[in-house]
Amino acid sequence: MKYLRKIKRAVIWLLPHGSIVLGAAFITFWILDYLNPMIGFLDNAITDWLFLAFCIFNLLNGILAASLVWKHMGKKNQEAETAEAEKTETE
Amino acid sequence: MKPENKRKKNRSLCLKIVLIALGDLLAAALCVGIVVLFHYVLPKQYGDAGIVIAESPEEITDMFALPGEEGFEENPEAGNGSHIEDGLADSQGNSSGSADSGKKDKFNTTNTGTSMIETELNTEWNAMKTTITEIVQKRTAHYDLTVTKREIGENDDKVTYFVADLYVRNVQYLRTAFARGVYGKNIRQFPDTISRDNNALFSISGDFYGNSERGVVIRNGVLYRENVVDADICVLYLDGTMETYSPSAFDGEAVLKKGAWQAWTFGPQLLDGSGAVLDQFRTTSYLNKENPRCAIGYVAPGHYMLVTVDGRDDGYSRGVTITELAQIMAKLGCQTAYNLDGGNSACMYYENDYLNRLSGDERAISDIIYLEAEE
Repeated sequence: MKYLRKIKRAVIWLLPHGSIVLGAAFITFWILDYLNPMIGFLDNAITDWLFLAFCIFNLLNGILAASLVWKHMGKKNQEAETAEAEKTETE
Repeated sequence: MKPENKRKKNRSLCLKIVLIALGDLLAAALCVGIVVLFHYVLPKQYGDAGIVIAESPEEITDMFALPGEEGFEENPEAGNGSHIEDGLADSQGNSSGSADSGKKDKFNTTNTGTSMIETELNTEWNAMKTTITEIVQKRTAHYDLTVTKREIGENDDKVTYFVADLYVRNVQYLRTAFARGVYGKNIRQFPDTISRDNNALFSISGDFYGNSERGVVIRNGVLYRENVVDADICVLYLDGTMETYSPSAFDGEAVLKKGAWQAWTFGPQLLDGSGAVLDQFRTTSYLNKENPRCAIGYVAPGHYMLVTVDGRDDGYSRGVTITELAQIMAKLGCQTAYNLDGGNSACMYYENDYLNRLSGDERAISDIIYLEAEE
């Protein structure tokens, strides 16, 4: 269980960094491609696979962010409900 | 919490953030480095030997007369050498068809939407005199080659270029060669080495096909690659004609049927097929700056112009934009013309030496266009 929690934490930590790394790499490729389109930095087998990885990282990041927001909203709602219940009790 | 401890905590947090950000940047740089290494640096020989689409016979049949001979006649074909858009009608009024009609049967197309840039003609050249000096005259049994050095402009505006005016009895004498004699990616050699390895009398740089995995590559009648990318294509046919195509107007099946001898993917195409400079070029404004250039032009079947423009050397030659290159080719009488690899790659070789002045260090390239040495 502890081990699984460690893996989960590592994945949650890695996902955004993966997006940052690949995003920065693709911006570099875009610039290189603009300077010399014939070399095809954006149009080759290696960057095709990297782009797939980029999409997967972003997809997972999006899901993670959405779930965190959901959790945060749920927590806030719960806190608000608890505060209101306490207020009613006091009254 | 004491203010001092709070400050210490904030400082260590900032340091952590900076270290993590640096780590990400390093990882990104490593990622880019690995891609550059495998895509641009490490040589890779392709096992594919290519499909022979035109035989290269031992004895080449004469098709055209050379200047001064009986039967010699300049007969430029106007209006059908440049194919720009889908459905463009050629000079006979025949439409080249829609984008989807049969083009994707054999040739795969990827279109990444390269920008088109507008023409800005150099009108100052109209008033300037061009100094022409003949530096090579070679006539053999199969071709007639005259190379002239031309200079236009003065001081920082001066442009120096070399024009190889070539007549051949058969287009099969205009050959191409790969670096190390091998078809592959990132396989490069210096142009003079490739020339010597192929017993070339004369050569210019090609389209640097080895820089990329895509693009149409036909060399000496052998089809090596058939991906149409977002770059204009130039095809030299066995009947001696030369045509240029935009990616959407390129019909691979028709090209093969007509009998292609050479095909290059670099561009852009420079003229409209009847000798006029195009209104737009398939390139970026960054690449349209003044640079050394190489180009091939078609005047008539059996008559070609190969041009190398020197550059990046103010006072000797500043280089030219794509538009200015097109103007040069038009002025030389070309009906169709096509930009080849330039910059440090731009070179013109003749008898064991370069005729032009290289801009910087000699660059190893993928391929050349050449004439074989003869008695």
